[in-house]
Amino acid sequence: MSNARSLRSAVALVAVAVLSLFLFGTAHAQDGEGEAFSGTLRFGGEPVEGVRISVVDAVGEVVGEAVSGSDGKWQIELPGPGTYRATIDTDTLPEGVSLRDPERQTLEVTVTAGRSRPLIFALGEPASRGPTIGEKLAQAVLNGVKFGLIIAMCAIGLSLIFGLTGLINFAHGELVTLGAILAWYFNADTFGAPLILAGVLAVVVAGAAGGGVEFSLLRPLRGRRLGGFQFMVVTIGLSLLARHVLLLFFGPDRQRYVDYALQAEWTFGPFAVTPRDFTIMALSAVILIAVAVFLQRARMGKAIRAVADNPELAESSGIDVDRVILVVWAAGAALAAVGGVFFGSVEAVDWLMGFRLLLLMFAAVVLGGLGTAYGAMVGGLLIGLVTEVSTVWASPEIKAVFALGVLVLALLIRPQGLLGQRERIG
Amino acid sequence: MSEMTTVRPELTEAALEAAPPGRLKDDPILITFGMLKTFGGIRAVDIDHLEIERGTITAIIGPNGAGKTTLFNLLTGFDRPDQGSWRLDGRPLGGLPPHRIARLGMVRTFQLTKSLSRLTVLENMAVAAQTQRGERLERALLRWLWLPEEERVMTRAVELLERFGIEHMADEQAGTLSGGQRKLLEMARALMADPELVMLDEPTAGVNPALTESLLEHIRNLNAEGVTIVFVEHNMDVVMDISDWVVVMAQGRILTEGAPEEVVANEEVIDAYLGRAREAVDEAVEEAEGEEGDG
Amino acid sequence: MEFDVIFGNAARAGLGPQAAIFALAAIGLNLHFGYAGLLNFGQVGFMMLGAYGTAIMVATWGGSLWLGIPFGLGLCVAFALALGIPTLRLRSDYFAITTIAAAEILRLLIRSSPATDITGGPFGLQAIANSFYDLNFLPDGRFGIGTFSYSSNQLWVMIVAWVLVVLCSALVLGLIKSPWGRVVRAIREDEDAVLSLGKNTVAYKLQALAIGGVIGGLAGVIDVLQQSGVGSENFEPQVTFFAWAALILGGLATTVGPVVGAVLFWFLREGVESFIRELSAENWLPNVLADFLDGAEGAISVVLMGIGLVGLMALRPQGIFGRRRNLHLGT
Repeated sequence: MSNARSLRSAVALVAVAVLSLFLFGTAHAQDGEGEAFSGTLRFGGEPVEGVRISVVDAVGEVVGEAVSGSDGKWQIELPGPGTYRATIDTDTLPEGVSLRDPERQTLEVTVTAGRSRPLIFALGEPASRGPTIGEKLAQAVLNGVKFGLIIAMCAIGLSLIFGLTGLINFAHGELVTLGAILAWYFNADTFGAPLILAGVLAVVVAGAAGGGVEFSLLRPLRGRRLGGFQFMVVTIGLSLLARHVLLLFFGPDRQRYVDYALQAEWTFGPFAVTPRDFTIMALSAVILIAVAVFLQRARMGKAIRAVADNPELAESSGIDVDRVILVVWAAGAALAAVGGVFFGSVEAVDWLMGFRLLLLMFAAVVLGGLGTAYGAMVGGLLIGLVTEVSTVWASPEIKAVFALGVLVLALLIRPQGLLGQRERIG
Repeated sequence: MSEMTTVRPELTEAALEAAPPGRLKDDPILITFGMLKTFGGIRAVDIDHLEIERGTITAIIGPNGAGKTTLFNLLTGFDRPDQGSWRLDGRPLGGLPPHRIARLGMVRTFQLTKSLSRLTVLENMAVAAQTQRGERLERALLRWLWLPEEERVMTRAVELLERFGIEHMADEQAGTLSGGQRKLLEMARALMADPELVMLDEPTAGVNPALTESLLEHIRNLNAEGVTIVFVEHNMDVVMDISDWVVVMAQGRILTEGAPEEVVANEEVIDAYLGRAREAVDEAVEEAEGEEGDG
Repeated sequence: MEFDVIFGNAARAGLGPQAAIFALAAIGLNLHFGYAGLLNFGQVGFMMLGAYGTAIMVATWGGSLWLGIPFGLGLCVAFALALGIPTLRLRSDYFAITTIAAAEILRLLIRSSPATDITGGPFGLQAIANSFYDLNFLPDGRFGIGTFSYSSNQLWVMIVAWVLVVLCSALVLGLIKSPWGRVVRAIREDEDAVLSLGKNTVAYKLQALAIGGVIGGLAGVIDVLQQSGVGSENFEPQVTFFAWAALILGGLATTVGPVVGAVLFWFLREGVESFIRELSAENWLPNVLADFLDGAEGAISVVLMGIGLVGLMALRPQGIFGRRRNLHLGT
């Protein structure tokens, strides 16, 4: 009975996913001929030889590299149209030569079919004065708080779902991506809605999707005595499924929202922040506080904490555990989608963003203590700070290493997490 | 024992004055000093002194949350005390991991039986045999090195299963056993490890009266073979029936100890069980110990 | 529609070196989780160390391949110890998260620019396996029929890889049937119970982690031999999930499960991709669909894989060879 029902709902879910594939168009690249980056490196009118330039695609995979010739010219063939990032290796610049603007070491450029794009890496005297370490640190802390708040928001659902059902949801990252991509569709692609409206719509849809997964797939499966491991595999399957459906929809390239893309920064002392980022930080903080108040004060919030504490006891004292889990799935998915929209505004939208964020979310919830919402918040902030502050001293490409390193370190010192409670034997 | 003097070096006069001991025993196998364990400020276990007499059956009783299971966890190395020392046959056990303590001859069972579900009953028994050559990784593939020993282990396992009346289940997966059969298996398995001291955490909990009788019989037989037994029990009939000595705990402390008849006549024990302090204790325990059913 | 082409492609993938690589990775995972209960989501880290250890010895340090392979496998043992000693005392979910994080840390470090001098950074390392192919005694040319055919060198890698698969399966079987394996399986069931019987459970778990990791490392070695090079993009977290998918498809805690699972996994994956390529090549589809599918067969096969995993858990969670009954005992 429940067997047939769950199967039917699983099939329905898949059918919806597949059908929706065909309703929307696709944005992925088609092969063309002759896309390339090229340029000439000059310093004081003289060509510069032997400088290495490499190009990575939207997901960070290297697609080509070149070394400038004796005439200073270089060229890199690209696999097709799309958005790429070209980086000049400053270590290979001759002594006394540097980039005129050190910020422009990496250029992100979109290439259309059949076009060869010239790139300019302007070389000049070494800059007289970069930002001081203090200024860098201040900016990194600000960025850390910004990303930390977003990670925290994304991770609350992950942590609460674990607390309620003991499930590590590997598909939680895809809820983040779903929110970001839906908002992009509503904002930039299909409807041209203002980003705020598009974001709200995306969050509602993502929340419904999260609730739908719980209601039509996981709840029926829970009735069938599957072990925790089998549920984990289900979420891995969902994650692979959702991620690649999103890839099919959205294509492999990074995209930006139309609104608030370019803004002048406000400066407060050593801190510089765009109005957009400031608003996002403020909104994130408000949302996190609202979640905390909800958990403390609201009936449902108390029920959530009761179930997380002891499901059997909560059930026997008359709490509808299934309903609580459904609410947490929907709300957790909505929060993740909010995080996705924010992250998409601050950086860019791409199909892998949620999966990359998932590891940082894992780090956040384990650091804070698996299963608690407040732990996710504290852990998220810490992880955001650690990743961003590390870039003051270390290469930004390994900033995630520091976050995950902190996770491992924290597990050694306090395995139950910062706010978690020790398990008992007996 | 001949090493009586080395068995209790801490028992200087100063120590005695600072911490008045529990009742001294003629030939203690286990001695505990100043054992303290707190959870969030609540003293779950706070025992100045406790001795277990060799070759006896000792019952530990007390209301829920008295600290009985926590004491078991501390003594067998599954939990670490905040302070305290304890010795088995004169060997200090403080800081040793649980498997080392088990190897020294103190083997425990658990309140909720821990049968190894997807191993056969026979395999459950075989795992418990000590110092098997084939359990070393470097010899695991060299069958001829451990095959003779394996046969001896199996023979002994079957003997014990026969004794406990579950030999017909030997090749079944342990997960298919009934609750009572699991209790039997767990006790037989503990024996397979050749213990000097067996710690049974509520051996009769959730077992029907007929099987309880048979479990008690096994405990008595074991004891007759010279194995010292400590067990946690709620059923006073059982306690009166088989124990030589009774230790009463409440709120982490030892309320009193003595022969069974002595203890049941004690006013304090009646209080502890009938519960003037009961409510306060339960509350404290809920806070301190969370999900642990009994402590 | 040329079904012989599709079937040929699928069969070539199902028996090819990729399938053997995943079979090895899954055999290691099977020892980890199927027998020892260790939820390792960082198997790709072991593969990466096996591969990069070998490649670095040859390409960076100019050493011999035959020194490189044991070096790579030695790194796997070191990784198992570094990972296991601090984390094996933790709950299994924490262990899972730590392993996935550790493998990704390794990958990010290997591809970072400071490491470029040793690992080749984002460019990887090439020209590693020449001395392996020098040993190839097979004649030149292609072997097989139609699309189901391999070059001489491919066949040579395959022979070695499948021999290793058989050896590793036998090794795990032998270990599991020994008293050592009995303790390991007992730990999977209830670690506290085994501790109470005087076994040093952490040591056993560490040993199981290291052995399964070395088998995963062998998968990485075969990968290096097959491509004669390494790149960090081959070792994304997804690879671990695919190895898990193969293992679960075949069935946990069985000897043939991981092997058959890996073969089926690649057979189905390549079959689907080949089928979609044929569909669009033959213009059998309405334009809108053809545009959509063109070049997207990789993504679509992963979508189907995701659906397959969910469906498998709903309908036959024990996999093809597993026993359903075992799922429920004691849980």
